[in-house]
Amino acid sequence: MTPRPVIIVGTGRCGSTLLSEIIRLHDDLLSVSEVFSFMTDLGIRIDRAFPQGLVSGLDFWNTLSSPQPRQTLLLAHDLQMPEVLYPWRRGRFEPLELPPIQQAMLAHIDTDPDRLFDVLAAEVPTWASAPIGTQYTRLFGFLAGRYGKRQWVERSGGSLRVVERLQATFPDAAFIHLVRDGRDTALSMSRHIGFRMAILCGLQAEQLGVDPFESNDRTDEADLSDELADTLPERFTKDAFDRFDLPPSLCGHYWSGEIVAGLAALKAVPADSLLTIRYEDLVSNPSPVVEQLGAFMGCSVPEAWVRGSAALVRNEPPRWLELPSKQREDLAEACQPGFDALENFGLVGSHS
Amino acid sequence: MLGSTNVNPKRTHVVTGGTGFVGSALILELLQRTSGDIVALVRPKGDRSPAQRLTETLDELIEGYALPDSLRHEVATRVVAIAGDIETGNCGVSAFDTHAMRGAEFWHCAASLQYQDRHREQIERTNVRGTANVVQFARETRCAMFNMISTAYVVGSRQGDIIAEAPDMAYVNNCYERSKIMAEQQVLDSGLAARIMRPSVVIGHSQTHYTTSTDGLYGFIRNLTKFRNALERTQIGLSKTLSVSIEVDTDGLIDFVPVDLVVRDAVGLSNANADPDYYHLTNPTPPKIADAVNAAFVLSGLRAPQFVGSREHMTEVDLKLQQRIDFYSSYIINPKRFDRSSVTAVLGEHAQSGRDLEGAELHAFCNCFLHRLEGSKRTVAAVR
Repeated sequence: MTPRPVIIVGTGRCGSTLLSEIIRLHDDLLSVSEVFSFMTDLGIRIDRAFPQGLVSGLDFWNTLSSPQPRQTLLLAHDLQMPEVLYPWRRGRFEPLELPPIQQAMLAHIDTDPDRLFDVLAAEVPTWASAPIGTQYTRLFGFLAGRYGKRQWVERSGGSLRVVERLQATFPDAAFIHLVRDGRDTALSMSRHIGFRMAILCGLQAEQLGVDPFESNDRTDEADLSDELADTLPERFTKDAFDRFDLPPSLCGHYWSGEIVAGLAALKAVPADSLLTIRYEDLVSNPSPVVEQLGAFMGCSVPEAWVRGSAALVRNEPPRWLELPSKQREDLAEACQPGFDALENFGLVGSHS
Repeated sequence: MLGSTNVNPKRTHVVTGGTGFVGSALILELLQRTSGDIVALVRPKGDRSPAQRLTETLDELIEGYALPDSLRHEVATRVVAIAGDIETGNCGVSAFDTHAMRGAEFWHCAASLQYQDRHREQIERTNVRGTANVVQFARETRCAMFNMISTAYVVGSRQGDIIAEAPDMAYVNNCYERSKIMAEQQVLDSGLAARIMRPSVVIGHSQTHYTTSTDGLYGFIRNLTKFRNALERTQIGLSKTLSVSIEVDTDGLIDFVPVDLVVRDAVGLSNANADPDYYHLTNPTPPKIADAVNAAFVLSGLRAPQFVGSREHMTEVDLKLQQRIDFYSSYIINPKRFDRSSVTAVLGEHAQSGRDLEGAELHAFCNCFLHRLEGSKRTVAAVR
């Protein structure tokens, strides 16, 4: 029986990168990392990553390999997310040319991502037209076969946002939902380059009435606050980006919204195809959680894998407790709807 | 007293900013209450001629303000649009056209309503240097009277009873207010016979509520609408669950004045040969700030806000909103009552008596704008 594909979803900044590292340690599992983070250009070009109808191999390759404006703008201004793994010193791409699959996915799989890119450049355009889900499945299956893996596991930060698209695109997939205390998640979002950029771009689009990366229409530019005006693509600087004030509590509201909407969407996933785990459980006592993951995915659970996984874990105290009391209160209040939703979902103890 | 004047009922009127909100209403009022010709200086824009731009604007307003159709004939026969740009010397007007404006009465309505510091250069270019150019141009035409449409909010952060008099730069809140004070000074220093007319927050037509303005009350509403959209983008339903705090003087009044009442007073002062002086073109019966702010929030799709007297206990999200609407603070904190005695002294019972803007009436003004806003709404990318 062919093992089912697995997709790990979460709000982003929920510790899911650790899961990708754990998956990568397993001999039978291909860890596919951050494909949809970068294919959607930080969660914004969603329609482009999940087009309707048939997609030719060439069009699919063009989408995989065409640089995306937000992520390359960040790199061009020396703003690199920790998720970006491309080896600049020995790689051939410059920041403004870096394809979305070169940001993290290929370097997560192979130590020579440029060579792997060339292999895919020769292969993918030859594929017959098919729905986008088939093309992604072919891609991940091709890579799994090339590296002798039996099963692929995809994880992209913040992909809970598109879980309905993922379900529709991969109807046979099982889902792992990783949940972390919203207060630490939100605080981390407020300091993370990718999330700051995504939220900044969302605010600019709402104020302008157009996406400033897709349109030159600046009719409503006067409505932008200085910090949003100074970070328009045509004016973007690292200093202006660093000045963008993103309060943790605003990210707390965002986290709550993602949890509420995500849990509602996950109701459509059959119970035996959904595993919800807490980040806090994973880092406080990793071995049973890793064993639980293995059992859910249907792969072997070698002791060495469990041990190796446990060695990756760093259990650090919650950072949100270091905030001034007023900020802590605002943050906790913003996260409350998310905590309530998790409790209703049966995830008691999602915060303390 | 800022000079002396004579009046002539057939006098030509020269209007800058004739396609703007107040300027266009002024032209329609002049057509109805004077018999002179009207020359509008209109900046060429895109592929439409000044005449096309002006005619389209006035046609829209004749319908929107429910004015008689016969006004269209008056527009066609008495209004001349000539290409002009107040940001250039002689306002970009040819010597031939300049001669035709000799002895006219000027109405300087053109202005930039931007207020952020990052637009300072453009604001000063339009409001200060532009006014200097118009003043110089008016001097060359030997203008009979110079009416400047300024703003009652040149008083900045002052509160209480506000007399129509020379402003004090010490109270300005932003570069827009500063530019309007400097513009008034340009006019006063020119030696022209001049009336400084100061409307408050100009809103739509008193009877139809129709507006082409996107500023003042409407800018406030537009910002609230966008804030609501941002909340919804952050978390679906957040705009309905989150109650934000806003700094407001709940006992104060906010001076909204319908555009037709502004121009009624303005043309009335001209027809009455009013002396050069400062005039508040404001509403004698303004609504309460708290009612207006509540209406704007609720009609924009937000929960009614909590009113606070300071920012000390605001949340981070409250402060984000406050940052967005700071420009409007001079309307909703430091409440003011604008003294209209210089207007009523001239116009007596003919002065406009205001418009009751309580409850449903205020909602009607807001909704008229929101309807326009909804019609122009653009689609942003999918978020899920």
